[in-house]
Amino acid sequence: MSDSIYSQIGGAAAVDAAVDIFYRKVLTDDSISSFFDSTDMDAQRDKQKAFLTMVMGGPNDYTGRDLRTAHAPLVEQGLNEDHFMSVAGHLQATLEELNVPSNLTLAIMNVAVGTIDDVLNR
Amino acid sequence: MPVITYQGEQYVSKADESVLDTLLRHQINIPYSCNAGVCHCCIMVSDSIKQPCPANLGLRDTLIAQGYILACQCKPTDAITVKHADEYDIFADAIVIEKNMLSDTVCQLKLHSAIDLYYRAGQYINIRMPNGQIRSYSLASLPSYDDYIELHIKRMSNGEVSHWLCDDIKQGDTVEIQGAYGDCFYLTHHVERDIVMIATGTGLAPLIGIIRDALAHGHQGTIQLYHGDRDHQDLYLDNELQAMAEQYENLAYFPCVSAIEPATDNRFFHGRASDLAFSQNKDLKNYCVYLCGSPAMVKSAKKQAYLNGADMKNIYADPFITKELRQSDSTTDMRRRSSD
Repeated sequence: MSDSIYSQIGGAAAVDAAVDIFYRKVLTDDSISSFFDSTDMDAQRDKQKAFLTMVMGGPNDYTGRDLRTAHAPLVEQGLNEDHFMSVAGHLQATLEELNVPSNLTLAIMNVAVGTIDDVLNR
Repeated sequence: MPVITYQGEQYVSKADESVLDTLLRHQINIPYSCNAGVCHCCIMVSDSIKQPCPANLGLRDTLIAQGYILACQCKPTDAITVKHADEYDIFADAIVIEKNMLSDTVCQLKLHSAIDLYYRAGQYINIRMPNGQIRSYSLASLPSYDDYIELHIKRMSNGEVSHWLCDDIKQGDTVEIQGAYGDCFYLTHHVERDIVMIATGTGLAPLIGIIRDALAHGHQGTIQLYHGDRDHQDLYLDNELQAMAEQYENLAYFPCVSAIEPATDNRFFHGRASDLAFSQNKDLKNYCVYLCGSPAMVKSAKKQAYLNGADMKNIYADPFITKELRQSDSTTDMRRRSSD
């Protein structure tokens, strides 16, 4: 699909550019970093990459069920809507930092925010 | 649920359970250590898995073709028969040719392997005690220069294997070794990169090997080594590293002590090695970072190195855990290996 957000934004290279900016923002945000306090940072960065690929409309095999299962333990630890919106804010800031056109940023943010019920297991 | 056949007995595994966990749950004594597919202690032979898959990830092609698997990484979906790995394939004899105490608690062992051991400086081997206990130790030697393999063993207060190696083993004795493993080593295409290395305790062993490897390859970038321990007497290669840093212009050595009492010699930095390293290196973009030592240090330093701009793929980490930690902590999501 030549007109997908994913191809317009630059495909895998765009995800590569975004993932480190995004992950560093998340890790340095004290209000949410404890949820990302993994011993295996490589695996976690891969997950961030898969997530960014998904919200940008790229090839992925993400399902709502995956999001639910993966986040269920975090919800038990108190993951709530405020945390979700903080992460979403870092995603938006990342896209702006990379000068992604505002219409694409809006479309990507719509997909991301649309995962809220799955992420929070509601 | 799939059935695992082992020594003629059948054991039913639970959903998403590894062969190792199933057998351990049935009180079968299988040697294991990291439970993360890294240390290879729990290597076994299966009757059915002979293609590359998660169960044999990281094993040599020749072993995969023979059905070798790592029991901790093998989650069977069909019935499977497993047996102990043929020992002569896996463990080899090595003779202790030299033994020195480098400090009150750190012992240097030099071994001659009975078979050719192919390794990179910074990798590690497993050592098996006669009673079957297995522990991993990093290689401090450089294969192109040293005709022996060198290990630094820290005597742990309750460490069965480390006590055996530090106190009982004598020159001329034979030990069983397996390896080498690990992906924490020098890459020659990084010859121009600047390198920051942080070690605590005997985490220094792999790093000294990697430094010698880098220098032998004519490394062009700078190398900063931060070695931290509680007391300056624990910095067991202090004199040697000091001399090396004087000899090589691009090598800098920062001995760090964390004990509350100030060090008698003002040459020692007071505080944690990682704190000093990151305060002196706020921008690690394009750096290679090597981290070896306690899991807590490796975990926090890995995060800080990344936040200071290092690429995740250029951070090489070699955490080891103690026996006490291994027993109390069953998480499997961490690449790690054991030290006694």
